[in-house]
Formats: sequence, C-alpha cells, structure tokens
Amino acid sequence: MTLGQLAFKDLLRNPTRLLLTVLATGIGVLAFVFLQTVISVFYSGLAVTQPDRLAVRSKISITQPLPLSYKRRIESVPGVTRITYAGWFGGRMSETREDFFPNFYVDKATYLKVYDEYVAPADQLAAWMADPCGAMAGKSLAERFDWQIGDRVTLKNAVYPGEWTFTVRGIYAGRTPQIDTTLFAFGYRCINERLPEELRDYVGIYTIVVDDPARSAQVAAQIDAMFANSAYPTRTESERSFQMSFIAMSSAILTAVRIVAYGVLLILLLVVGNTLAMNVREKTVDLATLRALGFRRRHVAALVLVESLVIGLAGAAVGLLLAPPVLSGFVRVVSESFGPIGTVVITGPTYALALGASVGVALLAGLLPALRAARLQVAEGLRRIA
Amino acid sequence: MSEAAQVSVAPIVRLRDVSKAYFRAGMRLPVLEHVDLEIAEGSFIAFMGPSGSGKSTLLNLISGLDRPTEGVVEVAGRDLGRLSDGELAEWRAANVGFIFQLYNLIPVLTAAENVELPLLLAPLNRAERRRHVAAALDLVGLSPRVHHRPTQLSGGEQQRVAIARAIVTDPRLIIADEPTGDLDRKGAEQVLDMLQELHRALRRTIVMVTHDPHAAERADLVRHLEKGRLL
Amino acid sequence: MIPLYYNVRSLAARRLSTGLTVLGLSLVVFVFAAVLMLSNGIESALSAGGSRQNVVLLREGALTEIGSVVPREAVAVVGNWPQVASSPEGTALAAGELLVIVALPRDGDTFANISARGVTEPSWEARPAARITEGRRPRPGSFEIALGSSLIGAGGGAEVGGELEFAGQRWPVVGRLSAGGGAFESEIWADRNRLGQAFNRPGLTSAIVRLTSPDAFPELKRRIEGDRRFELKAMREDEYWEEQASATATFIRVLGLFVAFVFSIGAVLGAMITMFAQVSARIRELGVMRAIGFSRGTVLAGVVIESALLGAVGGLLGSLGATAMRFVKIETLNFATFSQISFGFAPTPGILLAALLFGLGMGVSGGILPALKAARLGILDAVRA
Repeated sequence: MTLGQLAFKDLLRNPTRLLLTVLATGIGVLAFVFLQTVISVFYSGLAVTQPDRLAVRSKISITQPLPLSYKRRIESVPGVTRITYAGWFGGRMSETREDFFPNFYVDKATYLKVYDEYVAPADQLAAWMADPCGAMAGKSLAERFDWQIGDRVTLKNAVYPGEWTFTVRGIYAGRTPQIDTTLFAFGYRCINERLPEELRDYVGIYTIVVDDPARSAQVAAQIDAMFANSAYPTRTESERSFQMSFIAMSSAILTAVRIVAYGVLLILLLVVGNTLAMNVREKTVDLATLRALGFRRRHVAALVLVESLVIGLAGAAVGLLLAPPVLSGFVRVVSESFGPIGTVVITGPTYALALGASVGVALLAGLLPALRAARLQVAEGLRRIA
Repeated sequence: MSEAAQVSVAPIVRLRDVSKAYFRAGMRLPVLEHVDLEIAEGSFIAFMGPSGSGKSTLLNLISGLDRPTEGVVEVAGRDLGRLSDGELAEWRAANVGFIFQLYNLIPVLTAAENVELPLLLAPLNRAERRRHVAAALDLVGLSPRVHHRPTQLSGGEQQRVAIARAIVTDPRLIIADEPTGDLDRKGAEQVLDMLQELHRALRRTIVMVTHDPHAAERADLVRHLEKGRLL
Repeated sequence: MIPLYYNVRSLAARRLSTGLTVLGLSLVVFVFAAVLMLSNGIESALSAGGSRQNVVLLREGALTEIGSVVPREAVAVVGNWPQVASSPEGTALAAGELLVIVALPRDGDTFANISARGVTEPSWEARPAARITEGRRPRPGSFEIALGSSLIGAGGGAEVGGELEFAGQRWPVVGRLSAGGGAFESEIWADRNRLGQAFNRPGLTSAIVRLTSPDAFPELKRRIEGDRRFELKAMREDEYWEEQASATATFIRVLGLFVAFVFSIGAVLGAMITMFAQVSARIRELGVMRAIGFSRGTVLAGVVIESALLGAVGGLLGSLGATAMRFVKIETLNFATFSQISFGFAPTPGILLAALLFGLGMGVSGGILPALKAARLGILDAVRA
C-alpha cells in the first residue's frame, strides 16, 4: 500500500454516497455542457467570421434594402477586392412554423468567392450557376426534407407576391462542423425579374473582402461617407461586429443562460460539499487516529482533496459521456416542434471548460472539509465515538 | 551529540510542574494540576483513577497529542513544547506507538494494511514494509488473518492488530489507553500477556491508563490520579 | 405516527448538511419558477396590447406585420362594411399602418432594433388601451412621435421633449405612449405618411380595424378572406400578439424547463445523499422506535416526511426568490419580429403552486430509497449497531 492507495481505499467507505455524488456531478456537468452549447450556438455565427470581410447594410434599419446600383460604386473603393450581395427572402412552404427554413437570394456569380466556407461538388455548382432559378440547399436542410438534386421547392411570400418555385441544383457542406448547413440560396435574378417596379433592383446586404484587414476601418468609413447624404445611407462594419450586433440583441437571454449555467455549478458545489463534509464528520475518529500515528495535517487534507478530485473527474466523465446523446435528443425534439435551430455541436473548448469546471468545483467543495480535517484537534477527535 | 548522551542517563518521560486546564465560557476548568513525574526507560507503568481524574489528559500530554497549559513535558529527550505541530507529528511517528480502547482501526483497510499505516511515513520501500508488517503480525499471532477487515475480526483480534500497528515502527514508547476496556476476560488476558511480553522481552517502555485492577497488576508500577493530582 | 417535531429536530441536528441540501433544492425551484414567470411575462407583455374587438389585416401567408403588404384600397373597402365601428365624428375605425424597424443607437457602439409604427387618427381611436400618459399625441402630418414608455430614458434624446434621429430625419418626441404593459410600449408611433416618406415605403404593411362588437369577427373574416382582389387574412388583435410572443416564450420555456428537469435529478440525488446519511446516523434510534412498536410503514413514512420537509422548504425559498425577480426588467429580441421587446417576470398563483409542488416532489423522490432502507432494517441489527 502507498499513500495514494490509502486515499483510494478510503473512497469506498460509503459506495452508495460516492455513486450518488458522482451521478449528481455528472448530471450537473451535463446541464452545464448543454447550456454552454446553447450559448455557443448563439455565437456560432462569430466562429466563421473572417477579419477581411465587411458587411455593408442600410444605416436606417436591417429591414431596409440598398440599391443594386451600389455594387459598382462600392467595388470602386480602393482596398475592396471582392464584393457580393444577398438578401433575406423569407419564403415559406406553408404557414406552419415547423417547416420554416432560412432562405436567401444571393449573387450567384460572386457569392461563393466571398463565402468560401461553403463547399459543393463542381458539377452541382455548375448546374446551380446555369439555372437562374436553381437553388443550393445546405446538407442538413436537404436531409430534413429529404430533398434530392432536381427536386422542386415552392415558396410563398407576403412581400414578394406570388408563388416561387426553385429547383434544387446543389447540396452544400461546410468546411468545418460549425458552418451552418440549414440555408437555402438561389440567384437574385430569378426573383428580381418578376418583382413589381418599386421593389426591383434592391438588395439586402453587401459583403466585401478587403485586401488588408488592418485598413478595414478606413475602407468602411470611405464607403459610408460615399452614401451618407443619399436616400439610402449605409453602415459598414466588420463581419464580426455585424454578427455581434445580432447577438447583442439577445444579450438578456444569453445573460440569463449564463447565470443559470453558473447556478448549476453552485448546486454542484452544494451537493459535493455536503458529501465531503459528511464524510469528514463521519470519519473524524479515523482521521484523528492517523494524526496520532504521525500523519501530518497535509496528509489528512490530501485524503479529502483526493476524494473531491475523484468525484470531479468521475462526474465530468459521466456528464461528458451523457452530453452528446442528450443534446442531440433535445435538438430532435425541439426542431420537430418549432423549426430547426442551426447546427449544434459540442465544441472542444466546451468539453474542456466543463471538465475544468467539474474538477474546479469539486476541489473548491473539498476545500472547507479538507481544512476542517487538517484543523482537527487530535485529542478531541479521538474521544469522539464513531 | 550531547543530547544523545543525555538520553541514556535521563528518564524517558519527565514532566515538570505540568498543569492542563480547559476554558469553557470564560471559566477555567483544571484537569491536571502541578504534576511532576519521571518514567524510567524500559518500565511498564499503569495510571489508575476514576473518570475525570485526568489520566487520559496525562496520556495525551506524554504522547504529544496535546500541549500543557503550563510546565514542561520532555519525552525521549525532546521538549515537546518546543516542537511545531509538524515536528510533533514526525516525532510521534518515530517514537510513539498507540493502543486505544476502541482499537481505532481504519475500517476500509485489511489487518495488514492497518499495520502498514505508520510505515508509510518512514523511508522504507515496499518490500521492507511488507517484512516489518509480517513480523509485527507474527508477534501478535495474527499471521493467518492478515487479509481480514476489522469487521471480520473479534474484539481481541482487533486489539492485537492495533498492538501490531503500535510496535511496527519499533517505537521507544508505547501508549495504551484502556487497552482492555472493551474486551472480554479472555481477550483482555491475551492483550495484557502481549504487553507484558513486549515489556520483558523487548524492553519497551509502556505507559498504560486503565481502571481495571487486573490490568494494572501486570504493570511494574501503578500510580493513582485523583482530581487532576498525582497521588 | 412519528411526530413532526422529531423530524424537524433531527434535521436541525445536522444543520450544515440540511442547509446545503435545502439551498440546492431551492436553487432548482428558483430556476423552474423563474423560467415559467419569464415566459408568462413575455406572453402577457405582448398580448396585453391586443383587443378582442380589433382585427389585424395582413397579407395571406404573412405571419408578422413586417413581412406583410396590404393594399390601400382594401382599407377603404373594409371601412365601409357594417361590422366596422366608427368614431363619434363618424369616421370608420379602419386604419392602414406601416411598421418598419429602426436602428437606434444604444449605449456605446451597439444598436437596438425598435419597431416604428406609422399611424393615422383612427389607429388611436381603434385602440383605447394605447394612451398618452405624458405630453400629447403627435400632430398628424408632422414628424412628431410618441415613444413607448419602456423606451423612455434609453438615452440619446429618448424622453418627452427630446428628439430622435433616424432615416435621415429628426423626430421630436412629444408624448409618452402607455398600453397596459403591451407590445406598443416598446414601439415608436409616428405619422404614417411621414414615416413612409422617410423610409421610401409608400405602401402599408397591415391594417387595424375596430369591430362594432367582438362577435362581428367571423363575418368580417369571411368577407375579407373571400375577397379574391386582396389576398388578405384577418386575425383578432389579441390572438395576433399572442402568436408574436409564442416563439420567444416557447424557446425560453422549453430551454428552461429542460434545464430545470436536468437540475432536479441532481437535486434529488443531493437530497438522497442527505437522507441516506440521516438514516445511517440514526440506525440505532430507528431500531429503538421499531422495538417500541412503531411499524415499518411508520418508519418509512417518517423518513419520507422528513425528506418532503427539505423539499417543501426548498420550494418555498426558491419560489420566494423567483418572486423577487418581479423587480427585474428584461429587454430582448423578439424572434418573430426581429425587434426589441421589454418584459418582466410575471408570477401567478399557479406558477407558485407548481414551484412548491415541484420542490415537494423532489424532496419526496429523494426520500423514498433511504426510507425503504430504514424500513427494511431488522430491529435487532439496528439496536445492536
């Protein structure tokens, strides 16, 4: 036997309690991972932003369009190497929320040159380019509705009157798992030609690529100055801060989710702390005996901390094993009842954070009991009857 | 080493004008008052007295588990009052073996592992530890039961494991606090035989507290305590 | 029956463990109750604005005003129908409206998306709930605006007497708009034509119609939806607003309840740990009780009651804590309209009762296994332990 083995044998005094505590910790870790993942879904747009991409949108409001004629003028600004535009179409297959999916019109010739994180096979790409009303669907979207290449999708829309039928020409995937593959994109030309006069030749947002990210602020200022006194003033910002402005709008909900996530850790602290405190109380005599035999304060404190470390690690293992199936089950249930909720993956940093939080909380919970074990008055402890 | 030279001539335990008091709610509750005591190395001494006479406190002071309110406690040549808490623990590990009334074995460990406990603090390798443990258990006659847990042993057997644990580090001083208090006649006799054997054959110093006159008879010297004073 | 004070005292004897367990349970109840209060708050915030006697006209297929277009002629036609109420002056209470989203600077570099509603006189008459509580109504045809009361004080001139700047115009704030906590309190009301000019939007997004009585709705709905010229649909105004709230409220409710459920498993385990410890610390005591003549059932009930007590106190503390959240106001994005809404936690007796029962339920579930263990103890083993 060694000191380490002594600590491990000590764990088995109350296997039921150890098991319950590890399970409770595992459940807590599970909830923590779940909430962190919800937060990271909100931020997933940020993960794919690139420093050299800027968004140009209407200064007045996100729902206000910009004239198509701006494309040439923005292009001419020094430092702009590529440009594309897109807009929210907002069509629906029916009025139910369940079969809603995000759909956009894009400038097909330039879109994938700017957004190179979306990838599709070359032949599908060519077919999409060739068909004015061809659409590109994300992999998970196509799976959701079981669409094959060549299928027709009809959307209705209140702003753009009438029925709009598109043919699925390609199915795209993401370069990394965080890329959103629930989108549906078709060429602007397909709809522009059919629009009433007053709606024609307006697009939602331009995205530009600059040659030097360090100069983006300068380029942005130049673009905004160019349109400042027009009927359609612009607001140009980095893709990151554009995404951030959407996230900021949900900041209250995100804050609430964060508070709850830390609430989980607090509950964990209470449960683990309770267990360790009970353990120390119940083995007071044994700890006093060890001290009498010559063990130091740090030895008995270490016994308690090893216990909390084991609980933290085992709890993290249970929670992290449970998290992926529970999360995907949750996503399935939720998307069945009210539409898709983007691409949900548990990221590496979330795993690391959860492991760290679990071990950290367990050690923190062990701190007071360990201190109590170390401070034990030997003579008094020995007198206590087990 | 002048200190080492001193040890050979001086008694192993020397208490000079030692008092111990507890303070509860601002009241001073004396437990031991002005105790002067010397115990020669190699003796087997028993302290007797009614409960509350201070005999357990005296034992705690001698074994370095507690500190006096006043006076000096010198054991095995060291002034215990001058040792820090850590030094005291180290000193106990090297010099004192404990035998308790309720055996105080760790329930999750086997007999052998319980005996091995004090050796974990000594600079010994695994094989050396195993040899010491086997020798100690052999001495108390428990070799066939090394892998039993305390709950699988009788009271007398548990106390013999505790004795093995007390002698495994080869300490100069063995402290026994009511070692027979929880045992039946037969178990008690076995334990006392063993203590006597340790004293006679190995010349260990044994300090025992008991209120059992049969147990006290086995010691070479019996001192009585009453109301915190040595009679 | 074992008297209750026995349970109370034995819990009090282990104050630390009892306290930690109760705190854990109450945190879970807190989350549970707060979530329900929050989604209730969103729903009542949005639906409070709608009247059952009013009808919202949208283009068929549109779910929100933002995504809708309504022809002007339709409003004129509907205004002549007998189901539509009139003002004392005899004007029909049918008003075409224009809803746009305005980006207003919030603190620092961020923007809030605020709904701006272009209105005409009948818009006010049709909605008696929308009242000016400070200042006055904007004059028709001017750039004056009324600001929803939850936007007042947001900074940057957002106060009566102040001025906002958007869409290349200055808009003097002349009134504070209150609407019984409804969605209008998060809106800007401006003159419809001026707003349309500023945003280059000559059309209408929706229309509001006041009925002579709520019972006239089916007839009006049948007539407007049967008219193939317009392709419009009619919704009762209160139902329209409830619908607007449902996505955000459901999101919070589903997420929150799922989390509360996961939490509760952890808290039940925590209660179980404590109750197992209570039972093993009192084995001798329980044995004595059995020896005196208490039955297995009584011992079992005693342990469950003790655990239920933990849950009840946790439930009480948790729901009290959640009720205190009443004083917190929250602003967030409404997913349906992409604009900012403001709401609070709205406790109801039903939610509080549910929270208490939730706490009690957790306590009872945590007590069952330990209670079974206690009841199964042999009398002799227990007394001898």
